[in-house]
Amino acid sequence: MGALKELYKDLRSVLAAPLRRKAFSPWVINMVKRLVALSSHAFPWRATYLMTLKALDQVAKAYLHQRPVVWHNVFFPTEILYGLKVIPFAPEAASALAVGLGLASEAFKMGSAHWVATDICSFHRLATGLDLAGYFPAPDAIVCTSHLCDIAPQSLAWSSARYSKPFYLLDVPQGSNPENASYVARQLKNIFYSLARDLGLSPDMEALRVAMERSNEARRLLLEIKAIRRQKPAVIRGEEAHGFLYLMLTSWGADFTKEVYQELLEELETRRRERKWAVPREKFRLLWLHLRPYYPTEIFKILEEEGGAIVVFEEMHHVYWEELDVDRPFYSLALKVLGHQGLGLMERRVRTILDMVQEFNAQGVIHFAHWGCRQSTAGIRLLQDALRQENKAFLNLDGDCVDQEKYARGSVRTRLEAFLELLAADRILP
Amino acid sequence: MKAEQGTKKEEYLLGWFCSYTPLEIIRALGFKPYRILPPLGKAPRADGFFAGNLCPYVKACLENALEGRLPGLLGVFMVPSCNAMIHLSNLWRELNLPGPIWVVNVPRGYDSLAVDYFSRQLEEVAGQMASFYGRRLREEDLWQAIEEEKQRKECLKKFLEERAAGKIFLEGVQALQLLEEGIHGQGISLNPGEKVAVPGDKIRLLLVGSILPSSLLEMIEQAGAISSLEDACNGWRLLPGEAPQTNSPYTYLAHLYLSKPPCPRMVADKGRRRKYLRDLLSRYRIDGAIYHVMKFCDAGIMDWILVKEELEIKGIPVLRVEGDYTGGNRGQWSTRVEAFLERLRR
Amino acid sequence: MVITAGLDLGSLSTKAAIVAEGQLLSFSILPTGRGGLEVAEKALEEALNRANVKRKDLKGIVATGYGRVSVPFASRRVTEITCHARGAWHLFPEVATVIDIGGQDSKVIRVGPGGRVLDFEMNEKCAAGTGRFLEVMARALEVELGEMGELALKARRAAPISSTCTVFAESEVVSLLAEGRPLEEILKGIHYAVAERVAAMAQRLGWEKPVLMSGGVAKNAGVVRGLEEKLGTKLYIPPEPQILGALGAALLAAEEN
Repeated sequence: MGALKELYKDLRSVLAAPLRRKAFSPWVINMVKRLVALSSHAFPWRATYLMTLKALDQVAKAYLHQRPVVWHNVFFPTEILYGLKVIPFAPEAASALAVGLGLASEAFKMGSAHWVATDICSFHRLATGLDLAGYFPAPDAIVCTSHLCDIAPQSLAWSSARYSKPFYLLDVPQGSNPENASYVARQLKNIFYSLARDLGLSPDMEALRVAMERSNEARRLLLEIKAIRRQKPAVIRGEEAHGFLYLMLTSWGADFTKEVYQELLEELETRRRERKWAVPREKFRLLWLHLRPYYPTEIFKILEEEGGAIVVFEEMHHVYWEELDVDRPFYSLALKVLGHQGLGLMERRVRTILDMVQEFNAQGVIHFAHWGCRQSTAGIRLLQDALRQENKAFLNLDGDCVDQEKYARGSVRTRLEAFLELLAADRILP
Repeated sequence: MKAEQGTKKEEYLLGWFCSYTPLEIIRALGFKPYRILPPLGKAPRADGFFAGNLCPYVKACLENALEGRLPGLLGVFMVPSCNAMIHLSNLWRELNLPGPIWVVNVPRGYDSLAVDYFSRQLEEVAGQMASFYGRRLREEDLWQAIEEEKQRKECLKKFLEERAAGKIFLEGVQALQLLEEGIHGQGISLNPGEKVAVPGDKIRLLLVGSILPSSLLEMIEQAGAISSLEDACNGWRLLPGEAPQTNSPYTYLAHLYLSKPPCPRMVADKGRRRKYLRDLLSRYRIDGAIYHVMKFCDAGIMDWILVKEELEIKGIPVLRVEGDYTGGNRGQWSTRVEAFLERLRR
Repeated sequence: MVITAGLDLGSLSTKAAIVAEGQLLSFSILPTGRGGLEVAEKALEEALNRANVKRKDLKGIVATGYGRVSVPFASRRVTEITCHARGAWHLFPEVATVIDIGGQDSKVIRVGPGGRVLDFEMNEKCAAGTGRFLEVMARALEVELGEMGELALKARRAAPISSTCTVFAESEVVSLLAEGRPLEEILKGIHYAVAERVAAMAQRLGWEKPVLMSGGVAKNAGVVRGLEEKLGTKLYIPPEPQILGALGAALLAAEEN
């Protein structure tokens, strides 16, 4: 981890001036890429290193505006965007990255000055602030879904007004049925063709097909990764696995997604063979719901290193859709969107998590209640009750993924330690 | 100025929350729509189910229901516009509160695809309800309900427009009360003698935001100004839009509701909302505006920014206040409102 | 005879308890002030003196509470959650829920057989629902903190306090006074407000009876009554509600042996 910190430090110093001037020349971008490329040793997993390089490449393209840039929220089916060969840019993901680069403080202040209330999800508050401060590559169009996150469409609609660029909302109803799928599919088709028209591109159905095939390949690999992670003891720590959520939220349809997953799968298999376990002694297995802080915290140190409680899987890595039918691209993507376990009746999400707990042999579940995320936290009581009935330990950890000022070290430590004590007592007593 | 008394008869009540609820369908089925607008106050029982940072109106709705203060409802209509409502419906179901729950997905934009989808949704839910309650719902029943609702709402619209134009001097609270009663079926009669114009020197305010609490309107009036126009879920957002002639009553309703005064949830096309506001601002004299942002309302929080922009373009000062549906904000609000009005007077 | 000690280093007060063969020998409570090792040592010394026990006779010391990390001589550090559950079970084996309201925080703990923790919820961020709320109001109303509870009980009705935040509640309370609302009714309203917040936390956790209440605020009859009414159950209050954590810690120290 020390080497990774060093890398971030180096990155910050290289980027300091350009960030201040908001000038990202090809030279700067190449410097950054080289820095990362030379730091392969800083990454405990080659797959993470590979993913970072690929992500950087993509972000660089966006800043250099090599092709039209389309902003999207993390729930949008990016196969559409890769099918159009535009450069997708996810402000929410960029927020997470910006924390590591030390930009959060300035961006939050910018947001406040523009009346962005602190009641909303900090990812979006940060993204808006970063945009207002001029850190984001200008969009040529913006797409967003309405499901799960209420603030994303509102915030992105405002961005589109400021840039005077087209905004396309994918209106997602609650409930997966043919009627709804048809509605969503028709919208996706409209978006595909409208974007092509707006951006002066030719809508290439073959390219869309390729993107969908890539998505399917990546999906198959992810399922294999999931299968390996089910085995005891764990080979990868939750903190490390978490980073791959970047792909889950931004890269379906990209060519590098399957490359990274393939690399990860191979590494997992190798470490399994060589008995290189995640921690010397795995005492407990946990599921993690939602995201985690992107600034340094002791959370995983306390759980995984001190407590031997490994986060063996993340809810966000759940593959909630069937293989896409490349002959019916819009309809199958619609089914994908509607298939998210968080959409519709709470029973769906509860069922998914209970199954996951079984599958992964988990003793407990931790939900990181990110400030402002109502889609995940509002209904948590129902999940808590369901887990209690199954005698599974549950911890609702209040926190903020990107606002470091909200991090209360002492209280987080107490909660995690109390949770570990709770898990341990379960072992000793019947 | 009074609301006419409705005829007394056995009333089958169906609860509703959102201004996009098609009341015509409820009426055509022989039910009386009952708007769930709980009294202001804390929600200690609801707090036991919902995390702290969630819409206080939704919490109050849950509280009200848990306390058993809802009249006998034969069902509720819910529009899953936001996470707060979605999770309310989840809990409502789990806790066996008055049901069944009829969910209608209302599109977030107004285009032909949305109209097509919405009309199908409406037809489907109407059919399901008819079947569940053992009622017949013929198209002519629905057309009749549509016609009656249209007349009722036209009457309300005219009244509100005249009020906004300064031709009728009426307290904001009274106006909202009349609007609520009007929506619930009681007609409004306007005695020509009662039509008093608003004194020219009175400051006329536009109020925006979610469910406006009467305490805020009272406060404004005590300070000597008046609320002229309320862009709120208990205000102008209840007014109808315009629908073209169609064969299907469901298509008609889809147009009617999707074209009505847009609320912040209609995020597919914020341009429409901007246009709607600009229109209001150019038609009526507005000296200042107060935006009541419901705490933790994601749509409201961002809509504030949009509304502020539009008002600034017209050079109209605006005050932002936060609401928590408890009525306990008087202290916080009164100083701000008074200071704001002083500024407007200068 | 196995003698152990428990140290509960809270942000406001530091408590020490000496236990021998499951019996509480003595305890001490000191204001934490700047805190740290010094206060912990002092509290321990005081309790040892009262028990007539020497430091070297102790078979183990468990440190708990916010400041537990600053006690290097502790044989173990355990969170106050686990310690409170253990202490409660010792005093009241049928206990199913512990509600602890301290000067700056509050917690609800579900307790299972053997005093083990089944689930818990804590609030250290919001002053409403902690002793702090009472303190702020006592100052605003110029009433002695120790007398508030009894005064509140005198009122038949509670003046409703609708603000959820301590800061705004304070100005609301001042307005109520100005309106001529009787002091006792306002006090009752204040105590009910605290009880309401804590009851909501308990509801969210899914509490079960019987319930034991601990922490300094357990000595306030007004809050106790309010909580009993909101929850609809009688609360069991130990004779020394503030030292429950230290007691539990000392008992846990004995278990190691």
